[in-house]
Amino acid sequence: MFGRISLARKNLLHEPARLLISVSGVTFAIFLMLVLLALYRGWSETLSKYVYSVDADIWVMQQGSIDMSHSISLLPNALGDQIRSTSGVKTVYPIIGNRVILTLDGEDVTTRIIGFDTVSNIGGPADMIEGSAVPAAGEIIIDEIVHKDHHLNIGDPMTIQDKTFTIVGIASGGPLFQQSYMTQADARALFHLEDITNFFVVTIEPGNTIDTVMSRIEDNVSGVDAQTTKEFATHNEKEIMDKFLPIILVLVFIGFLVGVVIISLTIYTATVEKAREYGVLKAVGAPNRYLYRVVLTQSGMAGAGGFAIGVILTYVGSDVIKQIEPLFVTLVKWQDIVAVAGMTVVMIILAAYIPLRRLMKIDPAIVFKA
Amino acid sequence: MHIVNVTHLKKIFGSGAAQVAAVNDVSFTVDQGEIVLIMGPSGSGKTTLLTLLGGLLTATAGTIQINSIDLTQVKKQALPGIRLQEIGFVFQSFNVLQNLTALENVQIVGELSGMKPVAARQRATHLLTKLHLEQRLHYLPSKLSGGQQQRVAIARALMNEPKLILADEPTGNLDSRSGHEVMMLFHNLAKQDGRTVIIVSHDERIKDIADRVLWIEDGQIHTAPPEPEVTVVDPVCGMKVDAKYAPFSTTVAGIVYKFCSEDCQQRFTQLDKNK
Ligand SMILES: Nc1ncnc2c1ncn2[C@@H]1O[C@H](COP(=O)(O)OP(=O)(O)O)[C@@H](O)[C@H]1O
Ligand SMILES: [Mg+2]
Repeated sequence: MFGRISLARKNLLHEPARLLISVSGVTFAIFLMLVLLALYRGWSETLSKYVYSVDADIWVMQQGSIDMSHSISLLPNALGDQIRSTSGVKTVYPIIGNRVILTLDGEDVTTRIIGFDTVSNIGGPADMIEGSAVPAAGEIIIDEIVHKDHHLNIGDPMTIQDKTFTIVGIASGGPLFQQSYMTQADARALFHLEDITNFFVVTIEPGNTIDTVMSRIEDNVSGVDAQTTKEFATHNEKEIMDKFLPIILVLVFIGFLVGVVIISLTIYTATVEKAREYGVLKAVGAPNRYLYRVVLTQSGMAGAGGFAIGVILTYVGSDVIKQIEPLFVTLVKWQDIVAVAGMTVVMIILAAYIPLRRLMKIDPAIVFKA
Repeated sequence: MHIVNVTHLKKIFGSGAAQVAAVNDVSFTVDQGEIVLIMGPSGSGKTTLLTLLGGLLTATAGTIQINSIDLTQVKKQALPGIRLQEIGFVFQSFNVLQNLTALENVQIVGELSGMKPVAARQRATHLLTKLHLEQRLHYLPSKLSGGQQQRVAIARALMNEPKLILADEPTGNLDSRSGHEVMMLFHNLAKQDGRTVIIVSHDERIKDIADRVLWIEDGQIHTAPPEPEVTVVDPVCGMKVDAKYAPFSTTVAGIVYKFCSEDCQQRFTQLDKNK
């Protein structure tokens, strides 16, 4: 009540239609930016979730191999014993993981088949939608997207390279990550990998650091690379997401520009309309910095309002979107919200630039014109 | 004591053949508590002179001292502060801010000069009450009459206690009663509060309160109008205007009517059409 008079707020509130346009424009821009980033994060997460879910400290693979999708890792089974004998190593389990192209309803579907040790249960599905998480011989756990897109259900048969399996479970996956699971023996038979393993996953004995055990493995066992779970998970994300990153960043930048243009246009119009009043303020002695603050405050209010609503909309909207289309896996990270908040501040300042230049040009002598 | 001291003031607009000396070697002084009325034909340089006195226009030559500060010598960035503290402006078209109430329009000028909001609010309330607007403090300008808006503008001009008031056609958009009220306000400002008032106007009635009239023609001061004056009455607002130099006129059925402002002229032609 007894605060300073906020001319910016009074002017904005007296033009509710304009305020609505600028705030909704910014809301749209913020929503676009945050949803894109959330999609990026969400898809990234689905790509590494499996690796994180495996109870291992170290992943060992063929030298030169980086992730599970882009390079083939073939290791003789005998290397398992060599790794196991390395000092500091506690457990070693083999994992078979290979991509296959299936023909379902006449359509080619790429999926990865994991063969894991069902006794220790190391390397099984990270998350189940329904059914059994542990397949027996002749059984398969399929991916949720394969299940949805091709109407395959628990109890149905599924033929892979003339071997027929019975579906016993449905595992959660993601648009970029479809993985099916079977016993290691079945997978070895399917891929003819009786003497070869794709990855060894290793846990370490207490009292050792992961780094020292990793270098010992790389020194002891020839022809292998070792990565920490975190490194390997990150590689599985990056190898795929780096292709999307430029597109995502361009779209985020477009969102940013939309925000700048909308705030700038509405504040500019408001400045032109009120040019005479700004002239009056200049004439009676308002310093330029006061007038700049009025314009910046207007820009800031539109930006902050749009940001707040945009953030809420992102949380609500990403849930709604996921229910409509499961492909849109989103993950809203606070780091992204902070980054977008930073971009909103830049947006507010950039948007104020053109109206500020207009403001500078207003000649206070116009007050004497009738 | 001179509040205004102008020497050899010159303002030239344009260059070459299109050059206009709007103010051409003007010198005069105005004392504290004095009311000076500046008159002259349309385009004679009155507004330009007032704009120069208000520090809103850079002079081509000469000096302008306001309360011993030479406006032609100070840095450009210092001018807003001088306007804020030393000069109160009153305009023909009121120029109050449309989205602020009467009270806020006055208060904001106090805040600009660094007053605390509570103090500014108190002083603004006090000024508006003195100008009989205590019932209208929280009205937006759109809900106020012209006379009331002009009183808000006068309160705003007084907010920082300036020694000098500059007014350009302050009665030009007002009916004759409100115009008279505003005139009496200016009179009190000078004679009771000791402020110096410079008014540019066509309103002959203001001569009654003025201590002195400066007659301007072609950018130069003449001590008296070049011919004995004949005054006629503006048929719309009732203001007395100079028959020869009235800025607006209309001829209807062979009779010449003179007006103080374009506004009155338009209202007259409108009335005439409606008949
Ligand atoms: N900004 C300007 N640029 C060019 N010429 C101007 C400008 N302002 C005023 N003039 C000219 O200066 C002269 C004086 O104008 P003005 O001071 O407005 O007269 P008055 O107020 O007495 O009617 C006129 O010839 C006018 O055309
Ligand atoms: Mg004029």
